[in-house]
This record gives sequence, C-alpha cells and structure tokens, in this order.
Amino acid sequence: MEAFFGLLFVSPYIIHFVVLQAGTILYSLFLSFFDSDMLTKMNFIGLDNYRYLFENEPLFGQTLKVTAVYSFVSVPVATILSLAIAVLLNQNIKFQGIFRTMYYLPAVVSGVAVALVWIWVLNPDYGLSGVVFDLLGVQSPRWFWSEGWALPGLILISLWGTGTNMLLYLAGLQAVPTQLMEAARIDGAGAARVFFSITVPLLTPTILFNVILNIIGSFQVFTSAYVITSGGPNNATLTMVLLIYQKAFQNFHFGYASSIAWVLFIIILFFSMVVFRSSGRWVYYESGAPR
Amino acid sequence: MSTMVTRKQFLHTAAGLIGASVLAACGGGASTASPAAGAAPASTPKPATNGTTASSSGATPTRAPMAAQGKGKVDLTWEVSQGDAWMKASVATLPALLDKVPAIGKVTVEPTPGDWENKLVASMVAGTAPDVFDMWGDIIPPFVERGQVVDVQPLVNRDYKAADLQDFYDWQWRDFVLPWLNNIRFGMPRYVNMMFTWYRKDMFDKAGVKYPSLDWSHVDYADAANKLTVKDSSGKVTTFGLAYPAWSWDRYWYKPTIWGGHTVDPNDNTKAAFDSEQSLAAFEWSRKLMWDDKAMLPPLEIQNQSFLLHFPTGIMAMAEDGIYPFEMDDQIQGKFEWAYMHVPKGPTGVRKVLGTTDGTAIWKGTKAQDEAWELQKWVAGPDYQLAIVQATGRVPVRHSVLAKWLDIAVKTRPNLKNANLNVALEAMQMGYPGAREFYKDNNAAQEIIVPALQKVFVTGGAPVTYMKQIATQVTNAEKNGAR
Repeated sequence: MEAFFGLLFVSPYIIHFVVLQAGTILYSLFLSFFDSDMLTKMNFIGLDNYRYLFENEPLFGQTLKVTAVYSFVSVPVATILSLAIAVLLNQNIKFQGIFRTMYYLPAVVSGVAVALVWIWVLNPDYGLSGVVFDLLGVQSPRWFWSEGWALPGLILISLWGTGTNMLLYLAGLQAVPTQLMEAARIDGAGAARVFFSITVPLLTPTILFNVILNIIGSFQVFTSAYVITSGGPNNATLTMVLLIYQKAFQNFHFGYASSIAWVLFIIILFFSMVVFRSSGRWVYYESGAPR
Repeated sequence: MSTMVTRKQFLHTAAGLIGASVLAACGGGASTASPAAGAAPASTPKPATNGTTASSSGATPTRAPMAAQGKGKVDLTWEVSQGDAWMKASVATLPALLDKVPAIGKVTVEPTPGDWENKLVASMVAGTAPDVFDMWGDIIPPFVERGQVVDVQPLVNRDYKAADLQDFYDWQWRDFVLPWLNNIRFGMPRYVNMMFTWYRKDMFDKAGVKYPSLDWSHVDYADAANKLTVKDSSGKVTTFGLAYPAWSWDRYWYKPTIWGGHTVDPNDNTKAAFDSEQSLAAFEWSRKLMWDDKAMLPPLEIQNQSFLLHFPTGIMAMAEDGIYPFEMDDQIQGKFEWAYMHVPKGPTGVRKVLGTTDGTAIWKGTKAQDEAWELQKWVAGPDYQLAIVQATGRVPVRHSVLAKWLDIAVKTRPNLKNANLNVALEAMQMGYPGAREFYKDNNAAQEIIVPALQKVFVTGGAPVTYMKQIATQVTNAEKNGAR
C-alpha cells in the first residue's frame, strides 16, 4: 500500500516528464526525419534535413560561429567573474547581506526585462555606455548597431546575470574547512597561495557544475538575441536557437528545425562530455578519487 | 525520395514512441530532459521595431478578452490585433450583429498575444485557432498556402452586389487576392493604412523651407531634408530632416518601384529584380541621405522605436510613415503645427507607397464558417467602420464612410483641422497605394533581404551595389527551394 501511494504521489511528475518532456523530445527526433509544416504535410525524407543543414544551409556556419564565440567567451569570463564576486562577498564586510542581494538580483529578473534595460544602457548616444566612454575620451562602440560589436554586447549582458553562479560559489566557499586555510597560513602560505592551493581545489566540484550548466545555457542563448537584435544586424547575432525558431515558426519547416535542434543537442553533449572527461584531471573530491 | 505517411500511420507511430518512452521512464534510468530538443520559447514578445509590420498593433499579451452575448448557440472567437480603443469599439458594435444574426451566441474578442503569429500557427496545429483573426497581405501567404484560410471569393459572389463592392477601394479590394495562390481572396478589409509624409511646419518655417506640395519630387524631398537637418556645435545631428525606414521589409520595396525598377520580376516571382540600375539608384537615394548627408534618421537614434513616438521630440522634421491622426494628436497635443502630404513621385513620375490590406480572415478549421462570415462582413460593413472611425480615427475601408471620416476626425480632434487629412481622400481617388511585390516564397526572400538591408542602412557597412549579390542569392533560394 505504501508503495502504491508513493507511486501515486510521484505520478504527476512522471506523467509530466513522460508526456511533456520525454515524449516531446522523442517526437522532435522523429520529426527531424520528415519534411513537415505540422499542418499539411508529413513526408518521410530520412536524413535529408541533416544533409541540407550541413551542405546547403547558408546560415548554419554563421550561427555556429556566433553561438561558439558567445559560449567560449561568456562561459570562462562568467566563471572567473562570478567566482571573484563570490570571494569578495565572502569577506566579513559591512552590509554583506545587501551586497549579496544586489549581486543576485539580476538573476531573478526576467530575461526580456533585462534585455530591454540593456538596449538603453548600451545606446552609444544616450545610454550609460555613451557617458562612460565620453568620460574616457573615447567614442562608444555602436553595440547592437554594429556587426562587430553586437555579439560582444550580448556577451556583456550575459555577464550581468551571473548571480546564480556567484551564489553557488559562495555556498562552496563557505564549505571550505577553515582549519585547512589556517594550517596553510601557519605554514607560511600567503593569501594568493591559500586561494589557489586550498580554496580553488576545494571549489572545483562547484566549478565543474557551474561550467557544465553555463555551457548548456550559453549554447541555447535566445531571449537576449531575439528581443534586442532579432539576430541582426546582418545576422551578426543569429544564434542556433534563433535559427531553429525562424525555421520552425516563421518558415514553417518544423522537421528541419527539429534536425537543427538535434545537431545543437549533439554539440552541447560533445562539449559537456569533454568537460566531464577532463574533470578527472582537475576536479578534487575530498572523499577520494574523482567521480 | 519522399514517402507519404497517412495521418493514421503517423498517430500510430507517435503513440508507439510515447508508449516506449513511458516504459523507459518507468523502467528507471530516465535521463534529464534534453536541453536542445525543445523549440525556442514562444512567449517572448517581439522587439518594438519601426516599420516592420504594416499593421501597427498596439496589442499587449496582458489585455483580457471581451465578449458580446447573443441568444444563439454558435460561439465565435475573434482575435484582434489592435489596441484597447479598437477592441472596446468592436465589442460595443457587436450587439447589432447579434440581433441581425440570431444563430450567434457569443463573440469573444481576444487581443492578439505577444508573438501572436507563432501562437496562431501553434493553435492551428492544435485545432484551437480563433474562428476569425486579423491578418494582412504581408504575412497571410504561408497560411493560405497551407490551406488554413477560407477563400471568401465564393461567399462574396453569393452575398455582395456589384454596387456594394464599388464602395471598397479598388486597389485594396484587388490586393486581397493572391494571384499566385490560385487567386484566393484571403479575407475582407478591416481598415486601411497608407504611407504619407508628416512634416513639422514650425521646423520648415525656421529653416525657411517651402512646405511640401503635391508636385514635389524626390530631389526636392532630399533638398528639404538637408536644409532641415540641424547640427550642434560639435557637429552632432540634433534634428534629422527626414525619417524613412529604408531598412524595413515592408517599406523598402516601393522606392525602387517609383524609380522604375522592381523588387520582384513581374513575370517570374522566383526572380529578384532589385539589382537593376533603377532599383539601386532608389536605394542609393536613401543610403546617401542617411550615411553621407546625415540628413535621414538612422534607426539607432530612436532605438528602432516608432516614428510616432519620437516625432514630437524634434529628432525629425519629416517622417514617411502611416496615417494615425488620433494617435498623433495624442502625442503632439497641439504643441506645434504639423500636416500630412503625399509622398513625392519618383523620377519616373510614378507615385506609389505601401497601402495595407489589413483585414480579417476566417480559419478553415472553424466549425461555424457561416457565422464567421457574417462577422467578417459586419467588420467590413459601414456601421462597424463608422464606429471604428469615431473611436480611433483610423481610415475606413469604404468610400461611403471615408466621406464622413474627415468631418468626424476634425470635429473630434480640432487640432487636426490644419493637418491636411484630405490626403487620404486624394490618395483613394488617385489610387496609388498598394501591396508589395511578392516572391513565391516570401519568407525565404525575407531571410536574405532583411540582413542585407541592415548592412546597407542600419550599420552603413556596405554600398548599395551589395544588393546585387543579394539579388542573386534570393533568386537561387527561390528557384532551388530554401528551407
């Protein structure tokens, strides 16, 4: 009876997972082998969507480049930045709670709202960007109005929302045993040595977790690119998910869009696996060998 | 080689797949959801862009539906892509329709949600689309192509007399038919928008420039834009002489037309034609004014927001945009004198601007086509049109109501007395507004052309000759079939 009620109580999630998640995921894989607009046609074409994507899609290379640059710049920078902020906020300073709240706040603001605010912040004429660059005596970049600066603009926005990473690092920092740091200091280690030889190794499981999540999230960047630039100017911020969206909902090629989604999945899987595989060399687990 | 799968086969396969996933999940080892498999979020609102849609919807996703209750049994849903005033006026007129058509029980008027085009597609797939929805020629073709829209031509033939049809504007009535899609008439007119030049008389007076007139040319237009442009001591432009969204998909095409060129080959809708000398000269007129003369407003200056919002700020002396008399009066509030004028003729002596086909369409999957048609006729009818004129000041779709529109607009808003609203009546008599030239696959062309227009006009990063290679790309995509 207990088992029955146990199953009953978890059944909402199981149903949700099976029907709304696993079911739709499998359906999109199924759909990727069809020429389908979801309304009038469902023609089986085997791997032709994948062939077209690699051989004929003029935007594939561009979206791959944009997404890769976004990920390979934003993930390392976000990791370093959020760790640095966490270290600062882990100090015994006045108004610590207020600072922590302030740094975390952007993480709970809607992506659309954040995007709209940043459009103004990065306006080279009237925004904060213009003011800052004026003070420096340099002309502000044109950000979203320039092919060269639009993507850096989106990366900058992504860094503003590192509050979640920061919070996890903060939790990790507070779990670092103080006796280890004290022992190191007694042995003559300076602050930098303590940080790099004690704190960072003990934080590596948290770093691994954050990096994996950031890789997944950054390859799926959509909201900021959609709201701010719609992929422009001249496709300078056309990410892979934006391409999926365009192909499905604007061009009615749902089967083709599904195939792009699965290629993106493979790419994310690949980089996640690379990080996982390498983790044996750099992630330290107190309880023993890396898992 | 492609193989057709029947609906039944498809459902069996899908059920099998779902069943397999149920077993997999229950058998343990269920993995977390794939991050990549889901489509992009569909609820994000589109960015506010200027001139990207002909129908300037003021709808927001938060507004609640409104309903009119009748005594019949058939309920209808109508999705309206306009602001609150329009929706309220629509609901207020519906009791008269319900009296006239007793079979209708309730008409729910729903505001279009954010990202509504995509949600409409999803609701059609799900079988829950509204019976009647607002639509216009630029975005209807994919829906027509996929059999989602009722061809109303047979219904028109059945219910309208020739004299009734003469009350609609010839050009707008013509453009509701899509010749390359079996001459389907996709809907009935709901309202009309046309491009005019708005100008600030105070700025013209200050610059000593003669007000625009009917015989203005594009040479005069550019000359005035240059004279009206004001720079501060540092050389920064504080007032641009003209604002025209040359980068916009729904506005870029008519300048090449009046220069004697085309955007689509008139004899072959799979061939791009904007690489001709005439078309390139038309693009160059805008590019030079924007990037060399710095007399035409680049979108950065107003964050791609509407000209309407920024016209009163003084950032522009003239703007080429639609006709929104009440909205303009709300914005300007009599603080300065302004007026409308016809957009000048091109070098060929031809005058042409975007004239919209804003209308309503009936979803093919509706269970109440007859009642939906009655609603559609009502919207295109004189009573509804008059109510909308009174509530919103927008230009009606019938000659008989247009005659009253001018009086109503000026009486309701005395500030509009000197705004030269006559241009709308004159434009209808001259008949120069109209719909764009369509490609066979308009979406595929748009995907290539819009980024190119951005490169030339938004970033200023390319000469207009760049459009030559873009024309080749468009033709290739149209002929080979792009996905």
